[in-house]
Amino acid sequence: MLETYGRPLRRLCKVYLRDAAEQEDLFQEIAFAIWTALPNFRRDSTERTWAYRIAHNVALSYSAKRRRQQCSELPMETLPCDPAIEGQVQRNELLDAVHQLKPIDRHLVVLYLEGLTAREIAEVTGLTVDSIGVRLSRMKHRLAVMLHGKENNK
Amino acid sequence: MTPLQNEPDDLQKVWRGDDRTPTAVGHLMMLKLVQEKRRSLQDFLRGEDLTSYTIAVAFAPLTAFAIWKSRPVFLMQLGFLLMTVTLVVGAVVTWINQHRGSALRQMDLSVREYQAQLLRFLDQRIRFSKGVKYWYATPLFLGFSLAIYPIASHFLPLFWSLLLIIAMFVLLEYLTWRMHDVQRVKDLQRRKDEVQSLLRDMNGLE
Repeated sequence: MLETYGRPLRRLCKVYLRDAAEQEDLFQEIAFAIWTALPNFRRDSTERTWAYRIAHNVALSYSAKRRRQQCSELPMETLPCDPAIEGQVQRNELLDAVHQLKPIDRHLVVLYLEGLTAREIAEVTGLTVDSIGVRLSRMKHRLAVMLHGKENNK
Repeated sequence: MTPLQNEPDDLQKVWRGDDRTPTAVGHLMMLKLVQEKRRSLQDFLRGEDLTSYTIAVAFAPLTAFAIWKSRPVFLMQLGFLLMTVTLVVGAVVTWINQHRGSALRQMDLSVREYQAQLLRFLDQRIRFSKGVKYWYATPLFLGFSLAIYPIASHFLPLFWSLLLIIAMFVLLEYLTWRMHDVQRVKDLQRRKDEVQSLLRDMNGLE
């Protein structure tokens, strides 16, 4: 399961935390939570939505705990950024834009970016498919505006 | 993929472009490392949460023994009895409270269900922390005051011994209030506000 979802879950960690070491810690927490919950997987949902449910619940609790401990987050500039790698700058800009969204919008957007359908997002979040569709189209527009705004400023 | 598309759109392509796996450690090895880390963390948390048990285990036999030893002084005996009962009740109530918290280990609920469950749990913890001074600290310190009053009154005049006991009782109550009602409840309340805000946003989407 980690072979399949390892990369998407690492990307999810980046949405919740900005420090690379903390992202790794969170990923390990998620991996452990999935591993321990695996015997209780009832298959009443797909493996993917089940894994994302656990990942989001662990990430929410973990990031809240970290905020309480630190009371402040590291600035975005501390992200490891290697402009030599193609697409890295764009990805960081997208991540920056995602970080500026409200928590609930962040959940929806990251699931959409990972390619989950509205129905799957509804299963993960507990929201209705209709409300997700409306919200996501607004968020996509907002992200596009944010990214365009950055490009225009350059 | 969007709900209507099969091919990733531009945003999704940018997002998923970062497919490098940064760690060289195999997944199995990583899980073993996490397990070890988790075990030490759980030990730490257990140690932190079980203060009540530790106090009960350390002091309850002593106070129980003191009940028997202080037979000639009724007030002292009553004080030690009150302390023993409070310590044992405190350990039991803490255990029940922790047992309730284990419901949060079900991580595969939807985000909304999990947050609603977390909110109920936080409410319970806040009530528990606020109530500690009434059902635990007050009888414990009252028992302690009763137990040491005969000693104080033996060395000091009645007025000063009463004053000393009352001052000590008030100080201990104040420290408990600072520790539970102020610091702990503040932390829990902050977490509760975050959960409430997320749930409010989720409800607002419907």
